[in-house]
Amino acid sequence: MPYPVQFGVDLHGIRIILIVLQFNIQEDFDMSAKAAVLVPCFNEEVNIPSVVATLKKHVPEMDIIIINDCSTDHTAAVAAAAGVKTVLDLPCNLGIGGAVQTGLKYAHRNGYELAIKFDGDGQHKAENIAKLLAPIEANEADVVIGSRFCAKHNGFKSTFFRRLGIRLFFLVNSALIRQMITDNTSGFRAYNRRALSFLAKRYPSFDYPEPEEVILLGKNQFRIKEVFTEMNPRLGGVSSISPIKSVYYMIKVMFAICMVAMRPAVKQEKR
Amino acid sequence: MNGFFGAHQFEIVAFVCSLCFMFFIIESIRKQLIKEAYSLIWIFMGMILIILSIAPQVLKLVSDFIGIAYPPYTLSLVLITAILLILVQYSIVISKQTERIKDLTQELGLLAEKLSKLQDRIDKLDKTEKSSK
Repeated sequence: MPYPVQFGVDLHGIRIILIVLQFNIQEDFDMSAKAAVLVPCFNEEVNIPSVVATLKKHVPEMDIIIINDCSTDHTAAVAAAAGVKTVLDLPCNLGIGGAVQTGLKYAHRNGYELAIKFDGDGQHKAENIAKLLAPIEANEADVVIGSRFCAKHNGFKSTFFRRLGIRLFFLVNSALIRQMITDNTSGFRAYNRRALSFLAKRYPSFDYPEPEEVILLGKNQFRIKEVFTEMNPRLGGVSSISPIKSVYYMIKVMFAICMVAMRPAVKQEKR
Repeated sequence: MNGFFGAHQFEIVAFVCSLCFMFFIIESIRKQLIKEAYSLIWIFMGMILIILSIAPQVLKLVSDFIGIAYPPYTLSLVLITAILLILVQYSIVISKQTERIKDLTQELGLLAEKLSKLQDRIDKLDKTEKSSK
C-alpha cells in the first residue's frame, strides 16, 4: 500500500515546515518586540519635558504613552509639545491605579509585547529600562521590579516612617508570596505580554496599587524578579504621599493586601 | 394622659406616619425617582411599620421572644438593623458603580486618543487631496 505511506510522509513534511515557521516567528517577535513606556501623570507639567527627553535619549525605539489623569495644569499640552505622540486624556481623575490601567489597556489593545511603567515625576532613570527588560527578554520573569534596596549600596534616604512602611511591606509581601520582594512600593516596573494583558483586566484600582499588585501577580503564578535601580530624588512638584496620610495609607494597603491574599487565584488561559 | 384621639393616641399617630411613609415611597417609585430594584426593600419596611402600628401586640410578642422587656427598644433594634443592612447594600452598589465609572472613563480616554489620531490622519489626507487638485 504505497499511497497511505506517501501521505504520511507528506504529513511529516508539513509538520517539519510548520516547526521551522514557528521558529522563525519566534525570532521575528524578539527582533520587533513592540514596547510601550507608560507614564501616568497628574499635574506634572514641570517634570514632563525632562522625563520625555531622557526617555527619547535612552529608549528612542519605544513608544511613550502619557496618561494624563485629569490634570488641572497643562500636562497634556506640555507632553504633546515635547513630542509625545500618544497622550491619553482621562475625563475624570481616577488616581494612579486607574491611570496605569488605562495605559495597560492601551498597550494590550495595540499589541504591545512589553510595557514599562515609568513615573512622570522624574524619579526613575530611563537608562535603567534596558536593565529592567533583560530578565523578560531572557524569559526568566514576567514582571520585573526596579528596586532601590536589593543591592548593598544604595543612596536612598527617606523618612523614618517611610522606611518603616517599606520594611513592613517587605516582610508581609515576602511571606505571603514566599519570595523576597525588597521594594514593594517601587512604581518602576516592566511587564511582558502575558502580565500586561492580565493586569489590563484587573489592575488594582486603588490610590497606591504597587504593593497590592505584587501580591496579585505572585498569587497568580507570575514570575517576579527584582533588579537594582538607583532612583533620582524628585525633580519638582509634590509627592502624592504626605507624611500625615502615610499611616492611613499603610493600614489601607495592608488591608487590601490581606484581601487579595485571601482571594483564590484568577482563572487564566494556559500559557 | 389621653390625647386628642383618646386612649390609642400613639397607635393612631404611628399608623398615620407609617401610611405617609408608604405613600411617599410608592409616589417616588411611580414617578421613577427610585429604581424598582432598590424600592422593594423600602416597601417591605413600610409594611412592617404599618403592621406594628396597627397591632402593637406583635411587637410585644417579638420582644418576649427575643427576651427584651421594653417593647419600643425592639422596634428601634429592628429599625437600626434594617438600616444597617440597607447601608451595606448601598456600599455594594456604590462600589459597583465606581468600578463602572472607572471603566467608562478609561474607555473614553482611549477612544478620545484614537479619535484624535484618526482626525489627524483625515486632516493630512484632506491636505494632500487639496494640494493635488
